[in-house]
Amino acid sequence: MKVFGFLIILCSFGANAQELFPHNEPASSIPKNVIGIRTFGDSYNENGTQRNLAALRLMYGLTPRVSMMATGTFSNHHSKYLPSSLITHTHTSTGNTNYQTGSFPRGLKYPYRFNGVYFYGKYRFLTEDGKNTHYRMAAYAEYSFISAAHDETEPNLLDDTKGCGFGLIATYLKKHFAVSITSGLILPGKYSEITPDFYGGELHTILQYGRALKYNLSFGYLIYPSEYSSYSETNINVYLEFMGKSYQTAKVIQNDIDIKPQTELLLGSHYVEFHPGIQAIINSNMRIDFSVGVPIINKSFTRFYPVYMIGIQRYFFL
Amino acid sequence: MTKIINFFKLQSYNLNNSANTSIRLNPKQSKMKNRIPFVLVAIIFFTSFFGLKHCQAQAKTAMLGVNGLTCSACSRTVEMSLRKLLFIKDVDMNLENTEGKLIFPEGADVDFSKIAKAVTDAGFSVRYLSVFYDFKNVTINNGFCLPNNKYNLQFVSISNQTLDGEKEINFLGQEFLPKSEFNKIKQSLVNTCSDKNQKVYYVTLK
Repeated sequence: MKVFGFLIILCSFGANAQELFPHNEPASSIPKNVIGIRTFGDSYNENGTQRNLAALRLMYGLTPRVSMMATGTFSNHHSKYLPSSLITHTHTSTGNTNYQTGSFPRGLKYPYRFNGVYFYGKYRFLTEDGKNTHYRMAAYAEYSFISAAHDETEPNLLDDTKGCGFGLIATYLKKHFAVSITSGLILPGKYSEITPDFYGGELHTILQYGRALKYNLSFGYLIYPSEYSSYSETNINVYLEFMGKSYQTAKVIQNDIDIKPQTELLLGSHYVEFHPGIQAIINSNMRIDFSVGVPIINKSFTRFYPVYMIGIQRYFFL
Repeated sequence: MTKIINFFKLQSYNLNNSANTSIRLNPKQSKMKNRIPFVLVAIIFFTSFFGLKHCQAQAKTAMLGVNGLTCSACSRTVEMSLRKLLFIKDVDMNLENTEGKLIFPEGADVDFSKIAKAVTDAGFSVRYLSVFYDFKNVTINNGFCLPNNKYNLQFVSISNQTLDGEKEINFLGQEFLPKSEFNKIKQSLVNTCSDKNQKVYYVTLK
């Protein structure tokens, strides 16, 4: 309720805005022949262990309407293999094997690993520009080469799961106020591993993560300056971003046996997170973002809350 | 036109005077000497003709309105894109009004299409392009086509008049107007210039 109250107050300022959202891409594109470098990271505490992610993103404006990005990520989110208690089995006296899924201790310390590379492309297909306003729509596609032992069904192409995705973005801007909707499908790949079996032999495990639909809503507002005077003046923007996702139950196969998931980590669900953020734009080029994420409807099992995010980005004009 | 005729008379007079004061030459040289005035007249005629064409209207500065801009970073992007153009000496963006003043060097061959492209390359749209030209006694009427160095200016929606000194003219092409505004006037933009291969910019007086 407080959130919606704040939104009403924010809108009542009458329209003043920024679309450089910390978490979501706007429908606008990177200027042609401009290179952008963004480094960002997030952090949360998982039962006493600090989980961190660091990412380096290279961006390029291929044409006025087409933007490309490549992001490499490091994190201590994953072990080399899936937790042993995520999928367990017992042998009965009759010679049968019973497989089941379960939770695992959270907060275990994992070393930092390079997760892989995530690619993102965006095409702006609708541009309705006016003085101090615009409405734009874009289609995006994403693809990731990630080989992490991700232990929840929820897919996350940036750093958790390999796969692809696509969707649409609609962004409206009026003076200092911006609003943007992003919705798309995530079609994750599967993770497979071969580990030694405690009882002897090997365990061939395949984890097919659930397909997901994401629905994000972002608001942005320029709070300083009220009127622009020079490029050197630092701009301050505030953002409210709602990040939602619905995902399917995972498909778990071990030694060719299809196992029905029982742990909530592998069952389909949905959630919405709220990420208020603040941003400083220095010299009309370098931007520094900071946000805090908390759940407002259900929660994601891929992280603990609150999630802190910080990012620094700069454009280089060729 | 009177000015042009007087100009050639003056050139011819100067040549005749210089011939009278020249030293005596042998017959072969004399034959050559007789041709010199005609060659010079021809050279002067062509250079004067093209020179006059070039000087009849010289773009000095321009005001460029940009649509879709809402932030200083966006405005800076447009400025950086414009500054890459060699025929632009300086850019001064007004962040609040989302427009910029462009200053062209003396005698620059300004490519206005490249100005529009620089804006769209930066991810935005041209709202208007208004150029301040220095005219030298150019008499125009509706549909008049003024040849310039690398393009033609075709005047539309104007009355008969003579342009002398600095005048502001608005560009009306698709690349210089919002789509809705261009659609209203596109029927009236018909190329009447004799050289159809030359790029034509439709303009009107502000």
